[in-house]
Amino acid sequence: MNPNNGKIDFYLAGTIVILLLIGMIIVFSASSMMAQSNYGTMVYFFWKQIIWAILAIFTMGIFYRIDYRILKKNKRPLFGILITIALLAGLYVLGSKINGARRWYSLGFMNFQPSEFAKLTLIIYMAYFLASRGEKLRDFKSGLLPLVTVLISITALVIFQPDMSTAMILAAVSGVMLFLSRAKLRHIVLLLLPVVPLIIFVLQTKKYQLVRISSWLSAWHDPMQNAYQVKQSLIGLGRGGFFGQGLGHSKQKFFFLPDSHTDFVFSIFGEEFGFIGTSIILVLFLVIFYRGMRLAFRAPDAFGKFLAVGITINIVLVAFINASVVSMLLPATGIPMPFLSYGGSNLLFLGVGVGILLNISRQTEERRMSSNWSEFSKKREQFFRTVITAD
Amino acid sequence: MLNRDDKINRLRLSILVVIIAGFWGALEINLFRIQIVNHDRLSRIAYNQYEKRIILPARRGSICDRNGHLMAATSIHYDIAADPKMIKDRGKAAACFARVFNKSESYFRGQLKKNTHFIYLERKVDKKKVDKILALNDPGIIILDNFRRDYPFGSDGGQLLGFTDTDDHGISGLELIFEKELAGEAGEAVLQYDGPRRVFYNADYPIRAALSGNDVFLTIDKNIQTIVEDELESGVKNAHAATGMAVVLDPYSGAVLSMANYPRFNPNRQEDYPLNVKRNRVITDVFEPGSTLKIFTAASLLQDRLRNTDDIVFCENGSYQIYDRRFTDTKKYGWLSFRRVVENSSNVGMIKLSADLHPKVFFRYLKNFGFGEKSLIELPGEAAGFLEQPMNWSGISRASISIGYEIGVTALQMTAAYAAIVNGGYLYRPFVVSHLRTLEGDIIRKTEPEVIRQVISPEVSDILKNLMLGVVQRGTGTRAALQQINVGGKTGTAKKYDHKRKQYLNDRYLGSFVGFASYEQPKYICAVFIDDPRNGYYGGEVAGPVFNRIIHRIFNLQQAPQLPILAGQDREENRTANPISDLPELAGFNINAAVALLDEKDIKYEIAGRGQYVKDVAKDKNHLVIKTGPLRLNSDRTPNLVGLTLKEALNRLNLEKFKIALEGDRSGIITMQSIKPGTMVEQRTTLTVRLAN
Repeated sequence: MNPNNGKIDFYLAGTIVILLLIGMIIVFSASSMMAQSNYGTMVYFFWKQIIWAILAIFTMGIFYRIDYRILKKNKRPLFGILITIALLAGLYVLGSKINGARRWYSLGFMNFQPSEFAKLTLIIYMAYFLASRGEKLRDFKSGLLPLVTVLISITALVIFQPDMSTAMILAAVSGVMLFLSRAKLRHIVLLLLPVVPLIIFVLQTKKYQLVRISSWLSAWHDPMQNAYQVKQSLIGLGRGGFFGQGLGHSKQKFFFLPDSHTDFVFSIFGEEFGFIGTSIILVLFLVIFYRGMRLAFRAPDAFGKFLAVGITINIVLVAFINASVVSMLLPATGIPMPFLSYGGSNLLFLGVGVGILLNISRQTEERRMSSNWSEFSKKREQFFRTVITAD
Repeated sequence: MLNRDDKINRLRLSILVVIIAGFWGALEINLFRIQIVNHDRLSRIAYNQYEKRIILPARRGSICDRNGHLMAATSIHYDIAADPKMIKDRGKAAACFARVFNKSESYFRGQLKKNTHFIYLERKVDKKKVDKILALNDPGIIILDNFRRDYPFGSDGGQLLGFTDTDDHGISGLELIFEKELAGEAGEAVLQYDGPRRVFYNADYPIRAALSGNDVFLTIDKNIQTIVEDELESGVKNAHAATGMAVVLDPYSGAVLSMANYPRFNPNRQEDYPLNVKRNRVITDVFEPGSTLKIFTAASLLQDRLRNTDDIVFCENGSYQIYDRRFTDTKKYGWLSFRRVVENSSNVGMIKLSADLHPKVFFRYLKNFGFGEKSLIELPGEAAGFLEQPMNWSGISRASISIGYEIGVTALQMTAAYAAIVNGGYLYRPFVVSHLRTLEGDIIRKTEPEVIRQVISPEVSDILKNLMLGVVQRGTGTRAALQQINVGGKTGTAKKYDHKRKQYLNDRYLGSFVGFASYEQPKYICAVFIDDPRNGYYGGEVAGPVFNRIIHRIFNLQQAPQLPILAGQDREENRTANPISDLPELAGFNINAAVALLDEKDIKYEIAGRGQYVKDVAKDKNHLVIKTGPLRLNSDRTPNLVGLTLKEALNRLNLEKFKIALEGDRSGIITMQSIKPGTMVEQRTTLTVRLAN
């Protein structure tokens, strides 16, 4: 069985390329004024984003070529998770403190955020775990407990950085994966129970979280009661109307909306491309969701299935949560919009995830089992290969 | 249901799909709510935060007399306020305020300690005091400039000038009728803001500069106006009269040299005066003139060659009945010549002399003298007067009109008609505005004297002048006579008519005197009307002396050296100070925006510093100094210089951080720079740029 045989899922790959291109354009538009003012050139962030996008595509290409099953060999997922825990714990010693939170390792040329890495390794680990335990998952002690231990320790480490939003994404993604596994619903509910007091505890210790949420609640009656950033975000979206103001015609990017090219780029996009534009973006993420779930059914093995679920949910859920924050459906948290927001490491890890996803897509059962066409194309490929090697 | 091979739980997956689809649906609904339902509201909020329209008020034109004395001008006054939280040195500021405003230091100290961001310290402060406070250079002091219409001569010509409301719109008088010319046109600037409230010039909306109003130059002579106001006041007071009016006119052009009403009205405090005092009664009030009209009856008789000045008439011993109406004289005259009838102002004599005057002819003469219609002087609210068509005249109408009853005139009509008697018979249209002048000094809309028609011949004019000389020398107007100057005139004592009781009142009069000076060379027609005098009532008694004093002082004035034009100096200040104060607060402007705005307004400026944004503006007497600062954010980073000229590049660079080295051509556009844009520069570095033509 040659892992490089099957065809790539063009719908998935195409959607992601479109999103990346839209991302570059909107990052340019949203950051131009800030870049002009702070760096003397409008394209400062644009070039960086292009470089990162190329790197991300390159990474995607590498992981697309590597058989995803390599990831589960030799207990690699376990190593991955150990490295993750070490990195997260190391933040308390070596991490650089930015805005009161230790979330990054400063590597000189870039800031490395271990929680991004943690998301990926946790997804791989969970996929590996859920696939290998099989029926044992239905028993709590022997099945779920090791997984829950890992899950709680990683989430706790992220919470105390503090980085509530990433912790919640981690919990949500692993929750979905667990939900789709054979684990008993009863056990999942049991796991959810301690989460409620934990949230209350964190909210009480971190007052700013409480302020955010209360301002979010009060803003439901009058959007202008909102915190500055969300208010400006809504103004931007609202100004867009149905068709938008057109590319480059955002006014909110003139320093009205903070983080206009990172976490709140979706608002600028909505201002320039309107309701039509924002709807298209959301539909593109729905396409990713659909293709990802389709993959989860067709992957050749359980590891691939869970991997596909985890990676897909990580993209789609993050995108929807970001869109909700920008449009005030959820209280403000600092998470970027996948593919659209400016940011290097984020794009790089997305590239890894999508690469794995695409690799799974070319190994679906359907393609391997299928008929003459597949046979024919196999032969054709072998033919070309001989031609190439002969050359 | 669970497939052993299939590790994904299908049921749970469909639940997940439903949840994600629901999430998506909620997002779409929410976006629809924000982007489409609330689009208008949020767009408006967005608009308000990034765009601002600034009205650039136009300078309201001044009103000047014929020598350029400012009679109405817009001046700036300042309100001083402070932001107590921003005050740097409270003690020093309080001491300075106390010194400048003559109030206690502790008062200001208390004000400056208040827990607020804005507090008024002193209002309506003049420029000199403001300069002293500006010298403190404290960031907490706020200076607000306001425009105020100012009438430097107070009540002189108050009713003529009129006044403006708080928004500087003309409400009455010249201010009203020349509202359009004086007001100019307000300009508008649409500015664009960014988040930190820096201002950009919005190229889509060029600044529309304010068009300054034009200055109105009057024919009024300020000095004569003052004399007339003074003498009218003392005349009214001496006669214990209610009100008075006076007009001085140049008989050879119709130019009004003075127009005065008593009681006085000071437009600086217009809100303190009742409505009837604000009215310019010289043109708005119609009255029966009485004997002063006899000159026009005489003019008609002489011009139509019906009578000669030597014709004699029996005056019926002072009482003469026509139908049911008895006309009386003040003295029982017997036989009098035409000349003596005029000099003694005999009603009976004049009525009998005009017996042969056909009503239509008489009417035509009166109409030709301008009675019964508006003179069309450029003042608001002018009355036409009252003159009935001859077909409607009763049996006694001709007799009544010949002695100045049954005819309604305005003081201005009367004066203008007398000018025609004196100047050889030409009726000039009276005018009060000589020309308008634009801010650039171009004279527009110059009023040329306009002869409406010739009413009588120069010969008749000479005879009538001679009759009027007789009035002053021998007749009823002796009290108007001057020692050095020969003057002529005619008195009038009209009984007032009670419209309620429909009868003439025996104890209420309008005393008047209309005359000219000098007899040999008439330069002034002066009409004085004293309404309801209580101390004597004959026109010769109450109005004659006023005429006398006015003429006396006007002739003295010409011998005296002309007063230096003091007001003219204020005027220069006004001119230059106003456009500067029109400016919005420039601090925070992008330098290009500020320069565009200043060029548009034609204001001289200097730019100090090399920054991209205006840090501060110092207002000098007639030019601005714009202090610029580099944008804080980019001073340590290398800007992108490619595509700029060297000069532009130098403006962008923080020269403390960069040493410039040139490559390539001596001039042209920068094609290359040695340090990449955006690079942080820690210490002074050489930056090589390549220029190419």
